[in-house]
Amino acid sequence: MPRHQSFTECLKIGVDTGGTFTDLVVIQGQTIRHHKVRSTPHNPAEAVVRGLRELVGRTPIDQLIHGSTVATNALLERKGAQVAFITTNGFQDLIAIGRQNRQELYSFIGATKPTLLKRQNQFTVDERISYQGRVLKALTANKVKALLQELKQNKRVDAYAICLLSAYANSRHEKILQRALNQLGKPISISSEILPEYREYERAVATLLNAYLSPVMRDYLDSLDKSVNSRQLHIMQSNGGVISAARAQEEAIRTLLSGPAGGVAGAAAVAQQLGLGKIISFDMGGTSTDLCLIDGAVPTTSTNSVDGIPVSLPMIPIHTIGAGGGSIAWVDPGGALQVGPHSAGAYPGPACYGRGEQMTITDAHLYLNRLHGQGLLGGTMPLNKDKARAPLRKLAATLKVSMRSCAEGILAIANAHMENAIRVISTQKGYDPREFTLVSFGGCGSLHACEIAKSLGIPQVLVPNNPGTLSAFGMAISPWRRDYSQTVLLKTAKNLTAKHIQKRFQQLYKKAHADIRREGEVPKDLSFAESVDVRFQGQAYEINVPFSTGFIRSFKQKHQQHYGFIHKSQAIEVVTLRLTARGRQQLFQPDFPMRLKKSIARPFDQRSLKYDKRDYTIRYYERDELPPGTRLKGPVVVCEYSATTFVPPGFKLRVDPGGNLWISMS
Amino acid sequence: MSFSPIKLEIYRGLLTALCEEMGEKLRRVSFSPNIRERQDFSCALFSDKGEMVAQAAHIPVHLGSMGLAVTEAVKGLQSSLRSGDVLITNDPFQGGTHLPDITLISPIFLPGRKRPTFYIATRAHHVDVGGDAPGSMPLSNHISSEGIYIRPTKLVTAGKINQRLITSLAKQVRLPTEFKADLNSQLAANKNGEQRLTDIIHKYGVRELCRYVNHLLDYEERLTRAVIRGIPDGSYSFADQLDDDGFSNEPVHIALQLEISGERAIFDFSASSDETQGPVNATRSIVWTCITYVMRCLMHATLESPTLSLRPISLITKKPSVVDATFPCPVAGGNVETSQRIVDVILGALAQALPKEIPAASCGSMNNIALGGRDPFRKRPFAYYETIGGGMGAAADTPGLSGVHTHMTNTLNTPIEVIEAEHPLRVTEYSLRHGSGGQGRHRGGLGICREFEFLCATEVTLLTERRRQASYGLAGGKAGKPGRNYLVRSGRRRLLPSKVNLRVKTGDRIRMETPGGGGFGKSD
Repeated sequence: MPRHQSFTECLKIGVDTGGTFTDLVVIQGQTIRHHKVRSTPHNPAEAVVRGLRELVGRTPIDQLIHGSTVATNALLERKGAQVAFITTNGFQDLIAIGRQNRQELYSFIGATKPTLLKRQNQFTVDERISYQGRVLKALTANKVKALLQELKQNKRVDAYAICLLSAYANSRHEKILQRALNQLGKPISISSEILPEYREYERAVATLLNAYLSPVMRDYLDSLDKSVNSRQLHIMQSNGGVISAARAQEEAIRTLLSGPAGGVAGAAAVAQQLGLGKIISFDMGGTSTDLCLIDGAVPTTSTNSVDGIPVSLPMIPIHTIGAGGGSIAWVDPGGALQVGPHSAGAYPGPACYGRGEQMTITDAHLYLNRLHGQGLLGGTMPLNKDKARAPLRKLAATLKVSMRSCAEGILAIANAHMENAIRVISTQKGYDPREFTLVSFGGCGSLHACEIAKSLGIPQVLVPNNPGTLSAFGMAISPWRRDYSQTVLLKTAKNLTAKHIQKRFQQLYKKAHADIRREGEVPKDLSFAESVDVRFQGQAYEINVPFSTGFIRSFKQKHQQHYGFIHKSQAIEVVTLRLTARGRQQLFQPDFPMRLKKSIARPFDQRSLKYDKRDYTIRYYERDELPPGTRLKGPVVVCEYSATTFVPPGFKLRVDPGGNLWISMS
Repeated sequence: MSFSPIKLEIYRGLLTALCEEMGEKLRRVSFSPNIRERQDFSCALFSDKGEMVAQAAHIPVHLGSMGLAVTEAVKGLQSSLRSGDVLITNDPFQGGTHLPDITLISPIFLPGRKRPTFYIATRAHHVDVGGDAPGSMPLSNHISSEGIYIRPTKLVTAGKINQRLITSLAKQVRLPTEFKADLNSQLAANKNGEQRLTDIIHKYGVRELCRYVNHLLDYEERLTRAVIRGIPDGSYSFADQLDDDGFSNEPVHIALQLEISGERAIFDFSASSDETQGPVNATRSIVWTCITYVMRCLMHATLESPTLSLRPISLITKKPSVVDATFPCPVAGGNVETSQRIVDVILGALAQALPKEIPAASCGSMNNIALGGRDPFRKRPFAYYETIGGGMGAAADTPGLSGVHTHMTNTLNTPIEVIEAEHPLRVTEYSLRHGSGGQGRHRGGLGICREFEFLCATEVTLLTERRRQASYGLAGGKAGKPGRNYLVRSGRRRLLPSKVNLRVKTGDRIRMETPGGGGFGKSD
């Protein structure tokens, strides 16, 4: 493994702010350290600062990479800025109408969440551009002046979002407005910069969201920057790369899935170190499970939505389902046992935490001895089995089954939900799960991973080192990355050559180089990747393929692979050009062996376990007491600070030299 | 017979996932935007008696009627069915809806059994099935003008596809490539469902699967009975009307007498109008679909994909009538317009029993516009079809949503920038129609104003409703504002009827103002 000079010198820290904990990972040279502090939701920066102080004291940090939930939470809780939205005359309700569909098919009541944009904050200008970029109705100086007057009267606005029809084809009018509005002294987002692609609603809502989130992000990063002694402050984006904090303040929309993206990046990095090309990352926490299929490189797609709002910027496609340790079990009016989608969350939490009264997945694990009663987080969070018994008894009585089968049933149903979710991202997309490794992390993932893998025919499960801080690790090693796009709508014909398309890419390169200059510290070893969104003329969906002279052939191959057919005579259309600029993926191979407490694995406890109607003795081990080379046969439970792994009967576990757990069927 | 409540939920999840996987396959393999982007299709698994066991949550207007298509299609062909067969039908009068909705049914034979044990079916709205107008929803007075009419027949015999049938059908439609691609995608989806069912049988065994399919049907019946039990006993009647049938100016009445007693419900629509000359006739299966939709809305909100049982529900219709259409009357609008009014009528009756749970009437129309002609700029023929949303009815504790599709549809709009880049059209306005929501303690949702400018001569068909009869309010709330259609020529507005076929010139505009939803409660 080659070692990189830059690593041996700099102090790099990844910080992931979660709902309950803020995780920190320090990388210095070839050593790595982990730390966890309680999150401070009222001001997330507090926990970050405290964690840093506890970890490195006042040592100056070279690079701090932060996965921030600030943008996500501002959106989910609808606590963003007051935005004035400016569009073309006749289309003031663009955001309100959206795609004119409703979120819930079978509900008499529509959305209950407040809208992002107030009606009194909608403004229009009398202008129009054609789809070819021709000015049909000019934006005169008088019209701009009149708009400015109107806007000046609206003092309660924090930011402006401008999205004019067909601005993807010609940004002139938007730029005129941007220049004019600059004198108002508030941040301005314009659609031809945020997402220069066609489909007006998606572009408009991205612009609006950016304006809505950026002021919140700016306030947060300002306060963080003041209290942290780091030469560089970087923010994790939803696309799996990082950008400077200065840039993140302007383009907060790019950080919406910051946290989950860190998890996938971490899983992918571990997989890469271990030579695994095909993995399914499985991150099960307290309220939900995040899944992502990786076949080679970490994928990104541009057709995403967050909280029902389309976000058409490149993001890692993460499939989330509402199944977590806190998911509540209940009986429906037809007499069937249901698990989720409601969760007891962190508060009151599962019944065994001592505050709640609802039966959850965690309670079922505890009752069945798959969790040890000594508790979570190194015993600082004890679990009370008696508290779990009461709601289980009640539920079992309703169902007229034994408490054991009720608890087993809860887990079987949760597993079935997660198996179906893995099928959605694998078999439904044309991938065979039997070729993949399940990389399990998050607090609850490894309690379920083996049984799910068995059911789907997944041959092995990998539980990486420190699964509880994998997201922070993923952030710490993620490279700088920025994405650029431009809708061009070019019909391929004899006169459209790759050279012609290449020319159109030049404007994206120009933007990229301008950005890189602005970043201050130029990222090392930058590389560029060109790709194009292509479709058969008349189709509503595009396929993204790398751009080369043979891009049409690769488009047809991919079309055949995904959809099972191609149209031999149908013309082809290049819809959007995409350019990604990124720094080099940083390799990290920590120095081992880890500090181990023991040289031979010894269980710290054992209990009886009933599994598949047979009796076993289950042994409990501490993970930091499992030396490399250890081999164990299920049933075994491996406890560690932030996660628990259940190895059922019929499975075997191996600890590799790096301390990772590998589990497969015996 | 006893069952495990745990296994019941696991089987429900498995079979629902099977249907969802079929839907994903269908969506991915299909070509037309109608299926791929608007997702106008459904997939389901049926018992040997044609009862729906599981379904994927797709589009409301299909669900509830597919079971009838299965039983009707199988009836005549029962003795000749073999493993590997696939039936095709779009017969509106045998469990269908309208001609563009084509259903493919695969009988599933278990080893050693002579009769099918399950049926797998997909139904998809094809973008064009021939007939008098692009999109196959013309303003006509006979079903033969609405497109190809496929009575239940074998498309695949023992695994062998009848290519001659496909070729002959494709010859009669406007976009044969898309038609064939979409039929193939349905075949692929059926095959996928069959494969997953075989996997499940391998893993869990035939006997247990069959037992749990029966348990599931009973479970769905219990869920449905629980919904009906929640409605106070009584007899509730309600009537509303369609503006006209596009041929005469007479309103068309839809009337319901609803009887609730204990866990049973009787829906009696026999006082509704006779069959109409124009295409607003609804088949009986559409009425079932509307009932299923409303009952499902009343179900436990946190159940993710419950299937409804028809067992505790009886439906009475007069045959022939506007809610029980017979051959050869036209039915194109029954599915898209009359279905909305049937829902309004069911809700109107239920509002008397459940005043707090039932909302005021929504927009009540899908506001269909279909157009086409020859594009002089791109030098090719063009066709475009769109449905426009309106106002949702207000409810006891919330105002109605504005500018959305309601009840029986939920398709997406075509982005303006896509319309303009593809067709000789310009959209000059797309906004909410202020003042259109019915007043009340909670206001009804607002309709939409949409104005198209034509850049060349174009044939236009409008199929709309609630242009005269407004969407009703409830509990003292006022009705929403009815919709309006205009032709704007040389700056002058001319009011158009609710259903019309016309030829427009370069520079003309069509302006559609869609209805607002009804208000709820008296304003203070």
